Amino acid sequence: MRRCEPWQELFGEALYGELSAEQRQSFDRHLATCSDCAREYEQLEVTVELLRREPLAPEPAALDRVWDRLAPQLDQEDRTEAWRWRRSRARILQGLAAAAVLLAALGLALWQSWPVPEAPVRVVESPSVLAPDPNRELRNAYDRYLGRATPLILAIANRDPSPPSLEGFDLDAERHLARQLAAEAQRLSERLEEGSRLGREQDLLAELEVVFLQIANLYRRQYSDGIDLLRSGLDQRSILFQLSVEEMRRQAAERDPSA
Amino acid sequence: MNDAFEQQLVERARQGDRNAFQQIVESHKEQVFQLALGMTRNHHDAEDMVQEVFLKAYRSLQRFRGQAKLSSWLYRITFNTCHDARRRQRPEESRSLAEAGEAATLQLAEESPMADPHRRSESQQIGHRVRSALGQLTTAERSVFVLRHYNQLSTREAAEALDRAEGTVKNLLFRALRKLRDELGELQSPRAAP
Repeated sequence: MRRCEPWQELFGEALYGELSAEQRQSFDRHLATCSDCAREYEQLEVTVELLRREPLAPEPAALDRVWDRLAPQLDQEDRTEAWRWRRSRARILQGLAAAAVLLAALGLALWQSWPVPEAPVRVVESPSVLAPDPNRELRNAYDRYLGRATPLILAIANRDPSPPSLEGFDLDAERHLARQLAAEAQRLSERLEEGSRLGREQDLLAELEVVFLQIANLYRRQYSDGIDLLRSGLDQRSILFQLSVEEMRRQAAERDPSA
Repeated sequence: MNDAFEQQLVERARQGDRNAFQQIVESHKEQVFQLALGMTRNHHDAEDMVQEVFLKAYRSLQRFRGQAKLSSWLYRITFNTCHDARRRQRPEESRSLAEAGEAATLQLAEESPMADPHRRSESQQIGHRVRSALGQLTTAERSVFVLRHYNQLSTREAAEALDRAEGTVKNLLFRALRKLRDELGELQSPRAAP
């Protein structure tokens, strides 16, 4: 029978009509000369015929409900995937923010340790960021405001949008603080306008006012979507970056009050 | 569905087009179900397998590069899913599930309208014996046999779907048919009794 192995390998293809005309002729010639193979082939033909009488067909009702059962699972899959993506993006943003603060601190340290020429330097025009403020009281109020606003903004930026439970969060206290900060931003903006200090500071205050109003309206039942919206707003308007710049300016001013 | 259109559907589905993915599911669900049914030998398990297969396909669509046919890729996922499910089951659990499945399938067969009671009884007997005989095959033998016999894939297509050499597939098919012949012995006509 060992010499028949190459022919036996063709049994399946022969039974299911896969052999070419030429292969089939050779195969039939072998069966005509080998009674063992001929008998076995005949038996397998009967087996295949019997198996064809018992089709293995899925029930039509089961086929019909494949998509209806699958669709909700795909929705769940999309939500999980979006959450994973948001979480990884938030981590990247946090890393970038930390790196930016570190670089800024290094830059500041280098700048301050740089030898300053003893001869007086006549300043023609100061850069606007570090410009001496004619109204120091207004500037201090602005800095104090940012000092209170930044922790709440950072807390929201680092918040998990889909925490297992909201037990640990005092949303009422956050909403109350946000309402105060929104009102304060508006008042400060008006004072800046009276003092003719239009521009960057007012823009940032206007953006913070919007963010705080959103936080003031954040309720438990829309918590995940609300946090998503807030983080997306912080991201699009580069608010964290602007706060870092303001913090650097404030630190520089503290170290060198004459600037 | 031609290959170019199918590739377009895959591309659209990758970009999040749910309708495109639904078309893929609708076009391939029957073949996937048939293989799952052959592998698990009962409808309930097969139905769950089909869900798992399409969910896995949805998750890994980004990794489908179009080098193989979409149907081959889905068959491979089906084979792996059924194989993994079988391995996860403890032997005693597997036995009881198979028995429950057979009972459920038999019950369904009894409820189905068939004019001739004698023919219905004969069909039930054959169905029961076929499922039992399929259970005697190894996973590899069964997958090759189901793909060739029920899904009507050519040897080359079955080899591609299972990522095996064509020679191996031919050999597995021959072994599967021999075992089935031995298992179904007395049901076959007298001229073919081994």
